[in-house]
Amino acid sequence: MRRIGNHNLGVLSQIFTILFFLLVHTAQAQQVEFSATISDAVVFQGERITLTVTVSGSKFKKITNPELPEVSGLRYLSTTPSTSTSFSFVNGVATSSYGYSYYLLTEKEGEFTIPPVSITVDGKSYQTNPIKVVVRSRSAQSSNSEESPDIFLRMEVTNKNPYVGEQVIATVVIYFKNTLEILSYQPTAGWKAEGFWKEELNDGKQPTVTSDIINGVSYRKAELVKYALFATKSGKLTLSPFSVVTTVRVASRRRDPFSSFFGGYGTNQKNIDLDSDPLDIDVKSLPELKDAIYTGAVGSFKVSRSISKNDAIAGESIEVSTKIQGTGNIALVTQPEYEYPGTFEKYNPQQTSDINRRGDVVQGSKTFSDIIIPRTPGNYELAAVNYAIFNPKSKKFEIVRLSELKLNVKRDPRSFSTTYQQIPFEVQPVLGQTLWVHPKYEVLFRETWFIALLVIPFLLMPGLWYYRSYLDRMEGDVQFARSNKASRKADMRFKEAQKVVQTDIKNSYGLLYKALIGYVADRLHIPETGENEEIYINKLIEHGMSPEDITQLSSLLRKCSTIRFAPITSVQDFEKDFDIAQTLYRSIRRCI
Amino acid sequence: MNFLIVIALFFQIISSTEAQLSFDKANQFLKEQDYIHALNAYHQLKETGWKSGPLALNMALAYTQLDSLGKAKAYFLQATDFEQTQSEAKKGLDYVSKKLPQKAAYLPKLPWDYVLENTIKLGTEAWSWLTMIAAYLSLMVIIIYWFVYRENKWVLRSFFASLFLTALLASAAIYTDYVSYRYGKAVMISEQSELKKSGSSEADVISLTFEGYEFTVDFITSKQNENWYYVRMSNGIYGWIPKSDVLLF
Repeated sequence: MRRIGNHNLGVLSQIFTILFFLLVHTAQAQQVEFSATISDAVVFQGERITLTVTVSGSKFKKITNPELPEVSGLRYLSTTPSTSTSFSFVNGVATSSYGYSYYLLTEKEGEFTIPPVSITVDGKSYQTNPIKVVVRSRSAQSSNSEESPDIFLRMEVTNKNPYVGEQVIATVVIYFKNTLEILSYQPTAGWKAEGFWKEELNDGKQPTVTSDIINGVSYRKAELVKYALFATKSGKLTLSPFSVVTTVRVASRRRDPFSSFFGGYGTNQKNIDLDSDPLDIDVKSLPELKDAIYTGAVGSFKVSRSISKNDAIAGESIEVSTKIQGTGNIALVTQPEYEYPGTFEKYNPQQTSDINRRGDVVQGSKTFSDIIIPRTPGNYELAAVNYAIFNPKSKKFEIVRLSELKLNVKRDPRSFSTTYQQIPFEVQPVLGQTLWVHPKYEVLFRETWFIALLVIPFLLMPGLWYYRSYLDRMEGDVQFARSNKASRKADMRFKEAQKVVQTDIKNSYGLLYKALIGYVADRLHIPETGENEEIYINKLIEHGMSPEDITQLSSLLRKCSTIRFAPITSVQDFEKDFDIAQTLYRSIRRCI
Repeated sequence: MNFLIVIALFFQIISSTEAQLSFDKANQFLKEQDYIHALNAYHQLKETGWKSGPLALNMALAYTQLDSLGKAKAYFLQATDFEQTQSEAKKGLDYVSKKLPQKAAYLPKLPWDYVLENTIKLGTEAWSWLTMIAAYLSLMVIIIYWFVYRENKWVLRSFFASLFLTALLASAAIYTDYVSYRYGKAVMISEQSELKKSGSSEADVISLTFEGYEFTVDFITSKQNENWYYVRMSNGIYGWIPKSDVLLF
């Protein structure tokens, strides 16, 4: 295990001070780092550990030697350090790094703390963090250490029972016995952490080897890969095995861990595929939340809301921004939804984010912007809202009150017509008197009166056609014409007979005669003149005229034929005969 | 009878005066650039059943100012039906079409399409009266043939021609009525939607549709789904679209 105290600057020997002056020309404010590490955090009694103090920076003049603290249970083998120097030039900045290594012997069993190491750089004092060392008795070493694996991979997490969205550090650690040297390793790409959003925490440094004792067996270990995981759902989630391909060989007896980890080529080399065991994470759901906006923020965040301007004109675009910054699952935080007045138009929201991974934390900021356009003048207030952030340390929601935002929208100072001038072709509204229609959906040809009117011509056409045909026949067919005109002719003769009865009674009888005989002749297509009355009588008998009527008709016809020779005939007699003739006429019409 | 006509005319005048009053109030909002209130007032007036070109035109202008270009287009199209506003509405349509980001594809029209389009445009009532005139013309010609120019074959031919014309005009009237009853026009008013294979949100997407696209709505087929219209896009594709995404005009 590695314990690092990151602090501002330290010490230098006189030689390095001279070197430093040659390299650094300015004596302004210094940017230095000061840290201390030990080679093994867990060792057996009597073993040796190395305490390395490193100071690095770009601008410093004078550095004192590190002031070594006394350590209970450990003994410095020598207070004269082994020193090392390195220089780098990155992005135009020269950085110098100086290392001091001290060897300590573990004398007693127990847990010890190396107090802070002090150093003075340009008159300013810096200290490292205290470092813990565990010294175990060799008698506790497992007797069956040969049964334990020589090398294995393990996924280690900082919290197996986090909340949804809470950060968990997952570290892939390789353990190997002192008899092995790891020449190289290659993580298999494509490891998926289903149910988690993951961020790789890569500090760009090579893995450091430390020691550990597992089940009484001494191992050396190195952290290969480190991830920050954020659960996106609650329940039991499983981290799938992580695979690494390693090349190993039997280690030399040298004690330098760096040499061991990045040893040279040699014999007995072999490739080993290592897989970590699946790891179950039981993710807790967040407590219930009421009356607040929650957009998934878990961690330590600050939230603020602002509006781009408080005074605007109708139609102008306004930006309402919400900024959230801090440490936690910043990438999972989503856009807060605010309620805007109905006369506002809201356009596609935008977001920008700046996420950093420094050390073992993910931090950064995210800004969400709503673009709104007020269309109607007036004083508006965007209501205050409660914004909730879940703090996994306190295990409860922290509510941040986002205060109300005020917006005064003024009418567009340009005139109404000016606004419309923006429209090509200058379309203008019609503001005066207008014609109004109240349309009713009526289908004309479904109206009864319309149908009747439309049908009339088509009904008239057959009638007219029939009439035309009748006229044609009357003109072309003599018999048809006689037959059709028979009754009319008879009627005329009856009328004429009545008309002349007072002046010429004999002629009236003659007309009666003609009316009856003429009708029968026309109907039966018999020539009217030159035929004997018997022919007509016989024809009527053939057509079924009753004998009484035949007798009466014969009698009347005889009277009409002979009356012209009679001396006196009264009008009364004629009237009587006229009635008889009418009756017989109707009877004849029924027969023929 | 005359008394009843006078009474009906009186109420008609009173009612249209009220419409004009509401229209003037709404126009006041429009002048003050208070488009939301102006549109509320216009819609209230529209719900009473009154129609006018200026009403449709002013609504279109208010929607244009609010950047609701789909609705603006629908009302501009409505305003083109009125002689008073036809010219201005066409200018507005041109403007809206230029502003709309997505342009719809149109199938090239065949001569037959023009014939049908103009047939429908004339309206059922006009076709009905023309049918009536043609029917009486036929009657008149046949009377002339039967009773005046009996031997004239041209008169007889004229009769058959007028009879055929009557049948043609009656067909046009029936067709126009059928089309008016079954089909309607609509404009897309939401920014984007999807034309579906069937009337369900889970159905396969046939095509994407955008604000301002014009559709022909089949009301009879649309009865199969309460919240969907069965439509034909201008490029000839048929499909289903949510009712809330379109505005009939």
